[in-house]
Amino acid sequence: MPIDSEKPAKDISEVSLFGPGIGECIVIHLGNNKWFVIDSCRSPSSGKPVAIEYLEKLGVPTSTQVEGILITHWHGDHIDGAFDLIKECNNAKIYFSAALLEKEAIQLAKLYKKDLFSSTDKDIREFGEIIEYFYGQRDRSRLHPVHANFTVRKTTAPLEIRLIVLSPSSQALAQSIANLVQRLPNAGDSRTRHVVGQSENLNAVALYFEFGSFSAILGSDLEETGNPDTGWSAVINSGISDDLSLKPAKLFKVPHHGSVDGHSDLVWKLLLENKPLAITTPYYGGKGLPTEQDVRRIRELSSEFWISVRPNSPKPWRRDNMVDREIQNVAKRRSVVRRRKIGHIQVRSDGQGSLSVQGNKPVVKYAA
Amino acid sequence: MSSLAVERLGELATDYEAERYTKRTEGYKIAALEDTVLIDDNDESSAFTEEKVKKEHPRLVTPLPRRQDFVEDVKQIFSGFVTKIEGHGITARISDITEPSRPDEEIVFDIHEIDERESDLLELGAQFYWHIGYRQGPMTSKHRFSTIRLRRLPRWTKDELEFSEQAANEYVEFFNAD
Repeated sequence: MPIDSEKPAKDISEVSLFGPGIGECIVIHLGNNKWFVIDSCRSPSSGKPVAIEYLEKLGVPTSTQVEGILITHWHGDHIDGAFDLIKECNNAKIYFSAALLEKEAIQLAKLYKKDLFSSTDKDIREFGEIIEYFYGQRDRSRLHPVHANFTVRKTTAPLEIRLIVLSPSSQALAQSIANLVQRLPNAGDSRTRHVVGQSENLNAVALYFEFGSFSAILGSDLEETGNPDTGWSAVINSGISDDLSLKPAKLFKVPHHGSVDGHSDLVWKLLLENKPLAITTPYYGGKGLPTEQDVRRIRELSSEFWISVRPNSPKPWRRDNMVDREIQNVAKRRSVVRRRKIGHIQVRSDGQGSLSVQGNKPVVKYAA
Repeated sequence: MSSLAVERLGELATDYEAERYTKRTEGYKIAALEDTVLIDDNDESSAFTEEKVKKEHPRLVTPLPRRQDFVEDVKQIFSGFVTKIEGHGITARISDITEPSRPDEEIVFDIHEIDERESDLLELGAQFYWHIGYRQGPMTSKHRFSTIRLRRLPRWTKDELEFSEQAANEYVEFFNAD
């Protein structure tokens, strides 16, 4: 079914998942013409943040109706275009993991922001731009560091609407800060890249969204570490589900592009409805995500599994014949990390039991 | 003013060769401009020689044996950085410098593609350029070449680290003030 290009009514919620631009972005209608954006990626065609492009298409005034932006973690596939998004939505509150307002994170951002040689570190530079912007404006009122159990939004009338942060746990925050310390170079060290490591998935912010009888868990890239105090185990062990009476979710944005690293049986058993609707975006680096096994596993657990774009990596760009031959001679494996078309999955609910799902052309749907 | 790629300066013996090299590379401007030093043609003190560059930028120059004069027709340049080293396999993210609108790629290549003289530079996060093209010299026939060169960048300095730490303290104090 095609995407509904009309703005949802005030009493209809929406969760729209976009990706991969390089990364992913989620746009949420909280009801009553209030919007919330999670992460950012750019539209391959216009270069604009996809959230801005979509909201403009719907006729949403971003300056007044976007009330919050959450950066779940600072990997390049979740933060690309975030600075433009923040400037455009100039009344939105900005939420990110509390670890990123620690001295070590800011020092890394300052270090690489000034470094002429760091053009490759788009993620850390983007974060640096954001910090620099708020410091330059002498505005700290819009920045909100978050951690597990933090309530972003709660309204009770006419429907109960809640946005609650599920992670990172306090131990994940401590571990993340320790990792940041290790990443700070010493004088005389090589000027290497790849500053934001894979371990930052530990620090990713997962979110619970409730709109009447509809609820969703938006898993970001949060992984299952096997450690009871970090990752999905920490979410389960914290007892947050009982403490805050979270409803089993009907919609699951499967974490970490469907990777087994983000899988937790207990999340499917305790935080989600039986056979929920599952959605995710693919990742094209390495062997690509989700793998065939990941797709099989998620199909078995869900009523339907929607992926924003077919998970197999797009074909490499054709170049001069001689150049292509030389690349093939050198590269034992090769994958493109961005597609030219972006997928969009749109889920709308009235909060009273009805749920509609649409996808644009690149979207792939797997029935159970 | 003219600009030349620092990494190539070690290969240039004389001003004359440097000038010819600049002309040859004008069409495609070697790699990223951030790697360049600016030379004022009218300033005698800035006339550069290999010795002068080595003295002033000891860490920037990868020493290389002098080469025969040859003509390079570079068809493709990538910049990249190493994301994983596993046994003999190196995984890297590469960006197209020749046509920047093309998407980045992730590749895996063999460690033997790296010049042994640069092996000390190989580590996680190391940056490189990959040039592909044709080369022809007076004594050699035209042949294809594909060269991955790790970048020998200036190391982090005490000043840079102190500045960033001081700034971070100020920022944290501001953001965390009630």
